[in-house]
Amino acid sequence: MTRASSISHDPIILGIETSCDETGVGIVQGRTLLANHLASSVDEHARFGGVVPEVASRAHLEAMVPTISRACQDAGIAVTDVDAIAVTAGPGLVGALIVGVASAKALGLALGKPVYGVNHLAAHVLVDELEHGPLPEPVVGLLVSGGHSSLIRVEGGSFESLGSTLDDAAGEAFDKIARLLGLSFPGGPEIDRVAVEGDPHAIDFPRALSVDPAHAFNFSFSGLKTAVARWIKDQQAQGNNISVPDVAASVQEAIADILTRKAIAAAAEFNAAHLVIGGGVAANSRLRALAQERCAAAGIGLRIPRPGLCTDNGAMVAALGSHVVRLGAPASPLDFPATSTLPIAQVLL
Amino acid sequence: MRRILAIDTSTDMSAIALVEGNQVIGSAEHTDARGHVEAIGTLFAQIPELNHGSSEFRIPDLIVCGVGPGPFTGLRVGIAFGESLALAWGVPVVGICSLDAVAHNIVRTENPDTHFVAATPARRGEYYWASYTQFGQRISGPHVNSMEQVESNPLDVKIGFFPWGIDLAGCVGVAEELAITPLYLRPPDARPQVRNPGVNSAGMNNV
Ligand SMILES: [Zn+2]
Repeated sequence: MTRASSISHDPIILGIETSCDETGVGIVQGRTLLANHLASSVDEHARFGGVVPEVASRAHLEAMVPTISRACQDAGIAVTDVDAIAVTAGPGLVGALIVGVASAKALGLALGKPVYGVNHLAAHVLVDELEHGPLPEPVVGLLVSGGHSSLIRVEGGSFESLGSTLDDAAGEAFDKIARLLGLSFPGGPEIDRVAVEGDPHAIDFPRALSVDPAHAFNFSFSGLKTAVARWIKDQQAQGNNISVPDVAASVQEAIADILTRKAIAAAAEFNAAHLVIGGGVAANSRLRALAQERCAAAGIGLRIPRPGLCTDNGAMVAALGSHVVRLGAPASPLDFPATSTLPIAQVLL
Repeated sequence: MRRILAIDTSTDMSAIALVEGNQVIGSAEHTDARGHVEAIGTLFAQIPELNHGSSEFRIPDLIVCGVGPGPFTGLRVGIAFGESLALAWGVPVVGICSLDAVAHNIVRTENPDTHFVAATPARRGEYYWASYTQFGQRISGPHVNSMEQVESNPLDVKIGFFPWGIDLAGCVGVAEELAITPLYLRPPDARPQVRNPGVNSAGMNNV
């Protein structure tokens, strides 16, 4: 008897994630995490200052099968013990997604098990169930990473987009500003590290909080990037020394302010007693602290999974797979595609 | 008798065949330049001997994948698919140059009497090609060049042939066995991507 099947009789779900630069395979049983293995090509992209799709796709193919094997090994199961396969079908880089989808279809067909093509953004929300148990509904999700900045609402098992970024994603803003400051890629962790020594109120960067109600829950970060570039140029023209920690701390403060302010307003507007934050930027220390502070003041329950579950990973896909299996959803058709722009309303293909 | 499952997605055609000795148990193909990942599962399901629910189901003894060269995005579908089948079934998987399967088809259907070049379309008006003896043994290649460059060699250039699954299976034990990794022939395009897929959904370079 395998270790997993001795814990409970819930089905074992294997989740595959290849939407950007992380090859992730997670295994869950019900809401219990059994394994979460990751191979990342982030180092190969560093010198380009952003993710190069063809480099990512090549790395996914190389890592795919070894990552599946390793996850099964970590979970103490044979791949034949898996009851269903879930895979990110979108949104993401098509060439990268395709590797995971092809692999998932093969596993399902070879083992005679159902395959679920699922939405990456919904998976970022559902992953919190592995850490904090069933999600109370309605709930608002703030998903922030290098690839996306979205506010979504979950109720009755359905997902609805409240808003997203009009230009750069939050993580992308961190990357671009880090580059202006001579910091390395990815920029988020670097700015977080450097900001510790800086004054978050040293520079009052613009917040781009739209007064247009149509954009109440949309984000825009390109103005912030431009403002930082201009500020640096002005200081240099005046012959002033630039304090990188001060700029980093002030930028981080502005981004955390925008994100938390809009997320809490969305929760209030849609009667959600809880806010879930996911995506790589959820690892940012200032965002976490400010969200904690403001949610407490607003009487909103805050749920943030641990950093390893916030960044792209296979466990989040398995968690969403487990959720759709629990709901009794039909498996995806054999010919489901990988799609770069899957809307959040479409949780399952 | 060894049962071989052959998969190739190195051209616009996705092809699959289940072969035992000289006997073709089943085969299926679909042609769509950007539809490999959609087609592959359906093609597989068209062969009853590969379906778990079927009384004829039997796990093949070997999987062979065409490893290109070919347009990268489609090519990776067949390789990821074949490798993952092999993992799930616990059987070996080998790679064969897809142009070797094309040459195998040319020898089988045309019986050429001299050396020849087998070519398949790459993107941007270029071609993947390799040269062969009249018996289908590779002499040089694979390469990627413009048609002008391909035709500058004195051999008869044959285009419009596909790496059928049956031919790919026929290459096992005859053609050179390769690692199960794509024959890219080119370094990756090193253009960073605008990362918000909702805003810019490109990511299709080198398809
Ligand atoms: Zn993500």
